Amino acid sequence: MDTDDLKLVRRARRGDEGAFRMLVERYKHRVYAIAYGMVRNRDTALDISQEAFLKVHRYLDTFQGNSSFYTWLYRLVVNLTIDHLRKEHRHESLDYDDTTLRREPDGAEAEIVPSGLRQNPAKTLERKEIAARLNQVIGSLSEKHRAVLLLREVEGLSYEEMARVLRIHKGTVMSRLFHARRYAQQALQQYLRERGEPIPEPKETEEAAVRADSATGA
Amino acid sequence: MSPCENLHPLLNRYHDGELSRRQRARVESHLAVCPQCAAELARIRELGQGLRQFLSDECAAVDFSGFTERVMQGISRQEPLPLAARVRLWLGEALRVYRPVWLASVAAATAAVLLIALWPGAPANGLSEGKTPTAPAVANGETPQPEGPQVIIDRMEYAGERSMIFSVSRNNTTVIWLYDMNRLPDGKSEGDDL
Repeated sequence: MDTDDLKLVRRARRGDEGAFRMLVERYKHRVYAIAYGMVRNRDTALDISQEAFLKVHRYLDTFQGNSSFYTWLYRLVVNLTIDHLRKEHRHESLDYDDTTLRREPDGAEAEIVPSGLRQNPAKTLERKEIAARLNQVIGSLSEKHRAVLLLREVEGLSYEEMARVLRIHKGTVMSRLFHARRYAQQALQQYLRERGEPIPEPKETEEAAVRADSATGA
Repeated sequence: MSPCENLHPLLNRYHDGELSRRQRARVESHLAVCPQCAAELARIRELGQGLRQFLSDECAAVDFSGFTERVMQGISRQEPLPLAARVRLWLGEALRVYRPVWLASVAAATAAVLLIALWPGAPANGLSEGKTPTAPAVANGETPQPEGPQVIIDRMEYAGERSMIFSVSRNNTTVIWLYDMNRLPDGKSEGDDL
């Protein structure tokens, strides 16, 4: 796959429009998924996806081939979406502090969420309801947390690849992903509370994660 | 610390396939006996599955017909990037990607210069003062034993510059240096002294 990408890039550089067309066909859904996950607006996501491919073509000569084509492409998409969000000021950004965990009113750490989906099929939420809630949840994350969650869970990028896409350290990727999941689960938990779903026990802190790393020599 | 407290935090990385084989084995043996951690792992998985399903449904609902054509039309109307901008971007990317290599090269070169400059009886001084080692063994192709403080053991020529490698014995330590003979302080070439 990767080799094919690079071959197509080389051909496209030489002016082969068919090769570039194949790249667009290959990646348009993934690019759109990232764009939509970031901006959560269909028209805007389509515009950004199109703009991303135009930019890719325009800057194709500057692609060094040292990283995968898709990490380069995803970086462009993420940057475009972040630029858009910042310009429009229409996202409800919750700039979640990596060092701060949410606390429940009683001082206990917020519980990680639960999904009644697996444990109790009878209470399975409807897909549309889940989608609506997930839309709200990822929209409530800051841009940086949203990006890592999407790149990991939707695009399946490794920590190393995410670090290259976002140009941050691998440790920062891990930290952001930890908090993004934690906050997303907390937000879903709130939803389940409203629906009267059972809530599992609390778990995991980042401090504990660091301790575990030390203990296991990670 | 209980096994649960110790291993539970690794669940994120276990889910992401970012643990070593040893760590993975530890987590798996713990998951087999800890329903609480197994449930937590299931919740992490479900969040990911929910996101994938959500965005997969969204992609399926979007009409992509004409998308590729619009991109290709946009490309045909697009002005090519000016050469200067292309070069600048290319260099910027190259410097960023190869930054560790550049830094390592500069560090190694600096260390080599300092070593040569600060080493007692450094060959730069020796050579400039006419105290360069003779190299009869090199001249006839033999590899000499390091008998004196400086013994030439080989010569090299690269990119039009002649260099030599020789060893210096100090406290039972043998150091091998590479010299650019064309840059001797007094302008002597290799042939002048050797």
